[in-house]
Amino acid sequence: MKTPDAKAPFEELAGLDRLVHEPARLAVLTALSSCARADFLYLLRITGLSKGNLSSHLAKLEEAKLVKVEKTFQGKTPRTLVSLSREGRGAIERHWEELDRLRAQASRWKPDPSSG
Amino acid sequence: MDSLDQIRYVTKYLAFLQGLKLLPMAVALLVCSVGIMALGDGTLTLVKVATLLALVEVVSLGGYALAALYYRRVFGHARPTHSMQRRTVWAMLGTAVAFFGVGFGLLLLPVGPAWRAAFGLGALGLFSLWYWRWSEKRLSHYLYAAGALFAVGLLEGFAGPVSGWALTASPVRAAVADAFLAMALFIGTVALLDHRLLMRTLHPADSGPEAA
Repeated sequence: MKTPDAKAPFEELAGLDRLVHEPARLAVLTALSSCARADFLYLLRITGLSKGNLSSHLAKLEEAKLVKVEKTFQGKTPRTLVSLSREGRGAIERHWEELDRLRAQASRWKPDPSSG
Repeated sequence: MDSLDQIRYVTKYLAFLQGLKLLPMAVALLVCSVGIMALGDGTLTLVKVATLLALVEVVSLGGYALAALYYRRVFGHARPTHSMQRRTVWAMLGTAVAFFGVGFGLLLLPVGPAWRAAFGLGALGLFSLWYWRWSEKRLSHYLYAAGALFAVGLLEGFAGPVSGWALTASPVRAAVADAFLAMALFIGTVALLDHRLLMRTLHPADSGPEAA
């Protein structure tokens, strides 16, 4: 019988939270986890996403309550400020821990010779 | 660094990687160095050096503010976390105290002007080494800069003021010019390399309307 440890780490990758693991959203969440808050322009420049794409990812993250989006004005210019919510910070930290665990597991993993 | 790690690093140290902020200081120091060598062979008093440093400070602060505005407008802004803000304040306070301490220490040292400049460059090299360590040992150019500063410091101490080789000037004037020139080259080089790292991570602007 296979123990959970004997399970190939690649199989567990499928179990990662897709909302967080999607590359563009992971880049946004990683940037936000390294600062108190960032404006839309900075997220655009650091992720390399288009404005429409970034907006749509932010909307999904906001809907899942992982980020807080605040719209303000600087003079007549609109400014969008984004920060991680408490749930968002927890989600990205858990995600990195999970990835680290899987990485360590993958480095120890050896294919089962009996499985062909 | 993989791309996510680079995103994390650049966002965390964003204010420190905005190298153009320090470029006016490097230019002002360079102008001072050339000025010291060019303006005759009159006595170079402590008051004159202090006045020059004050002028450098004024130019640096003005240039710093303009460059900060440029970065914010073109690349946006990420406010550091509270822990990073605290770390920055302590680092800046520590650096300021260390620089004043080294400055006074150099005045009291019973050595000639060349060795004073040499010890000053050595202290700057130690600062560069500390900064490399403080910034998670990722900015290797600070490590190389520290090595270069130690080497120039030793050369200055053992072979006399380098500027004095090419120009006829008093040892004091040549040593001060050397110190200003070395600081200008150090700040200018690391500032441009910091900016280069930032530019390699940040992407060009998207021309569409803001949709968020």
